[in-house]
Amino acid sequence: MMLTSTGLYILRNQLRNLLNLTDTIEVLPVNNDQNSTENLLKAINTIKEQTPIAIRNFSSQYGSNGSDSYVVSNVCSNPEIYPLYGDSTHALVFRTYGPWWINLPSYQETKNFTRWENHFTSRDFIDIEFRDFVYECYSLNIYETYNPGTLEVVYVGKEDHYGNITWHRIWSFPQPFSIVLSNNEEIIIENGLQSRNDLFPDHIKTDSSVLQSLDSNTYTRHTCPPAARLPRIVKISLKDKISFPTRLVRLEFDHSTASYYSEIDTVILSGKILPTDSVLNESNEQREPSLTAIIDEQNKESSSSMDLSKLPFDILFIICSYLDLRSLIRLSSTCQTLHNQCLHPLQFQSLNLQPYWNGLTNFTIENFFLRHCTRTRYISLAWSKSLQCSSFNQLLNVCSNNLVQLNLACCQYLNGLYIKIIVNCCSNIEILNLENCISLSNVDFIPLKYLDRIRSLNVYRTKIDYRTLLPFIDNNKKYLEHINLGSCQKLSDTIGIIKLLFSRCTNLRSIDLWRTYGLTQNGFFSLVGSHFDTGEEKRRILNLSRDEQEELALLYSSINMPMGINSLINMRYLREIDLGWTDPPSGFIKSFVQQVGHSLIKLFLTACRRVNNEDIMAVSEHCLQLRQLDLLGSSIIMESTVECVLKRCLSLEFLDLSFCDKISNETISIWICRYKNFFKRSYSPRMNDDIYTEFD
Amino acid sequence: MATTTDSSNTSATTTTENATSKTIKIQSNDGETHEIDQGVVEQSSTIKTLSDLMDLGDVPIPLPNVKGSILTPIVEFCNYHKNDPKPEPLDDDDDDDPNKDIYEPKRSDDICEWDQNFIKRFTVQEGTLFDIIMATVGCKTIANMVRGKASSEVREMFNISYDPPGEGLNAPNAIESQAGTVPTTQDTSATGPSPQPDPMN
Repeated sequence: MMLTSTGLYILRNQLRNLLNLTDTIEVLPVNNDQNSTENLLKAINTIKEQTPIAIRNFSSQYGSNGSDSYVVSNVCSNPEIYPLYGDSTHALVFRTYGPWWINLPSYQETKNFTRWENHFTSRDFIDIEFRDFVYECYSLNIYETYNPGTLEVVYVGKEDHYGNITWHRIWSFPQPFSIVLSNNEEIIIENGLQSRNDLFPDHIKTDSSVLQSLDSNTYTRHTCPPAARLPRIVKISLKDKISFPTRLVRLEFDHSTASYYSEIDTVILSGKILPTDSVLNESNEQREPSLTAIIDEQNKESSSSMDLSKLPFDILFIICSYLDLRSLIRLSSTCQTLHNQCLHPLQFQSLNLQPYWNGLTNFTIENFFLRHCTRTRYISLAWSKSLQCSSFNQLLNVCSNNLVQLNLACCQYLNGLYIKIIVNCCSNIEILNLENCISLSNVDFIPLKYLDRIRSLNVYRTKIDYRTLLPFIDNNKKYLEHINLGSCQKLSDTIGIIKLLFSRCTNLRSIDLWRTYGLTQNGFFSLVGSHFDTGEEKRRILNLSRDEQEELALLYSSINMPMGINSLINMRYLREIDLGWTDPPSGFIKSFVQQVGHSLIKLFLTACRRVNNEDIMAVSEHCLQLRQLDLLGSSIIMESTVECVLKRCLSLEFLDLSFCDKISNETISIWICRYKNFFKRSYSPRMNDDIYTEFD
Repeated sequence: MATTTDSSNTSATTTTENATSKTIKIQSNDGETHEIDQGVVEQSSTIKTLSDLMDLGDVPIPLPNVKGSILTPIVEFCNYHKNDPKPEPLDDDDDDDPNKDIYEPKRSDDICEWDQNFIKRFTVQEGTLFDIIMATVGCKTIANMVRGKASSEVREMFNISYDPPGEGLNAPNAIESQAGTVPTTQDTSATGPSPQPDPMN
């Protein structure tokens, strides 16, 4: 009933019919040799369903490196969770979801890109490799086993003889797709744009803070994710969409409106396998240059005197500032006058090339952007593929001292040379994002220590270490406001780095230590000035290699490292801290919030299992501005403690109580009625009998 | 309930009265004169600057670029919007202000319904859309018309005559790789006037 209004049709056994049909209309290459034709027929008529064998690149993951829980490589297996539904360690899980992360100052204050790229809403991606080339693709099946409905774009990769990959977009939301339920029923969704009322049953408040906070800050096509709590296979038909053999698939996701983590069990590519010897013998399709349209255009004499190009420069400038980059550049190609006016360097002051990661090449940088980036202050090259050092160098040379922000998230082509270029060209840089650049070695980062105006540094999931960070923090102590050291596993002197941050960086607003490796119990105590074992602190340093010890001693003396028990926290404005999976000892949070709790709006204690009731009571006393609290996985926090937080922290809008054994579902239901609807609670995969609730 | 409505009405009339205490006359290029109040004056930087600079008295401000047929709807528009909150200034002049660092994307899908109906009265063909463009809503509307269109479509829509391709007119290739779409689907709009091979392939 609910979905009839949104253009949903139920078609049973669609898959079987589809396969039967296609076998009969098979077109084969002409071959005189009867036998080989038959063999070829056999080989290529076999429809194979492949699961991924490797992940080439991705944007983020919940799990830690080297682990097999909640990591992207979990899709490289047959379905393990499906047809169950729930939170599973065997699924692919990205780092964030919903509006929670992007609504915080740490994100908002780095959001300087004013051009509205309305077609680009992807937030995470994954590049998947399959074993065999498929020459006739049938479908791509994505097994969504938790909080489904976040798939945004599907690309397939075309490889040339040299291994260069070009990505072709073959599907994007809300183009038609279908959902296969666990009883093999297939539901075709003609248009994914559904209204709120269709998707949220009566008992879910649509005016909950998730959707409200979303309205102001995020533009998304997934205005509402499916509220249905059921496992499903999203099936993207690839039939007749791909004209080349492929084994690479890229998925992009937009989980802006997901109420909890989206999880993917596996991704299956089905189609006919090409015999390996003819993989690259595909014909090169010739693109007909579409000159006819242009000639027509030229012949058309416009009789009207009205002409966009006659508008005064300032009006045109305003119009251009409302255009996305693609439309702006297309408008600039209409005629010479508009070309000169649209491409004014001020239009390129903030240049977000992330939506164009696929079209950005060395050629385009050298022949187009170099000429227009003379006033560029904010630039994002995030997700871009293999830009050469020389192009990168020229671009940053043109931007030079104007550049304030540089975003290079997930750029796997970076090496030490690129870092040197950044430091040499852009001495005024304030916001630097090198998130997930795992190709950079610890030594590659070292030149960054010479930067001295950094406000925000994101080195999530990189190999950066103390040799860069200790001098870097000391150099930027007056400016540093945001630092993300999440999932950094090679910091070596983690305690020293954080101690320096806590004691020197008085302006620090946010610190992300999610899964940061190397925090010991003793180390935690030394951070907040609690009593700690100095002997153990010495032994920690003695456990490092001899070279590292010498280097550390030199660094410590050059930056005048604070030692001893008196290292109290000097941060006055700390608003966000993520300590997920770092396991601080009991009592640490108590003394921490006593010192900085007054300004905290976010406190993530995910899987911090030693945090006790006294700690959380201290949170309720000191963190009156708290908006987000994550207590996932605590088996000691009691209902009465949480109730204290609920009563005192009136700004709270996010509380994750997943896997908190001492807190019952019944109590949470009562709280949902009494307080606001902001409770997060996940559960292990299970059969859901209520499977049709979304669809009747 | 009734009291609240009354009080809000009163406050609204008070502001209007205050505003109407000073009115200004403006004149279109074909001699049509309109009397506008201070709330309307505030919305036009041209008129505001002129009225601030000169003590005009009863002399109408001449607007040599505006026809009477366009001035009437502009006054109507300004009257409708005079109690709107002040728009934020454009960002290109506040670079040095450290407090102005949080930028929102310049969205153009936020034209209110009244404005959308208003703007429908003007078209490119009659030339009236460009006359009305001085208002932000005009700029946003033009932007929405250009958004997502190929160069050739834009030329057609706005009667732009195509002059010979000069150096650099191949701009669309700057961000739209040929890989952006599937080769089998002819997407002529994805390429510019003269498609150019990608030297990287």
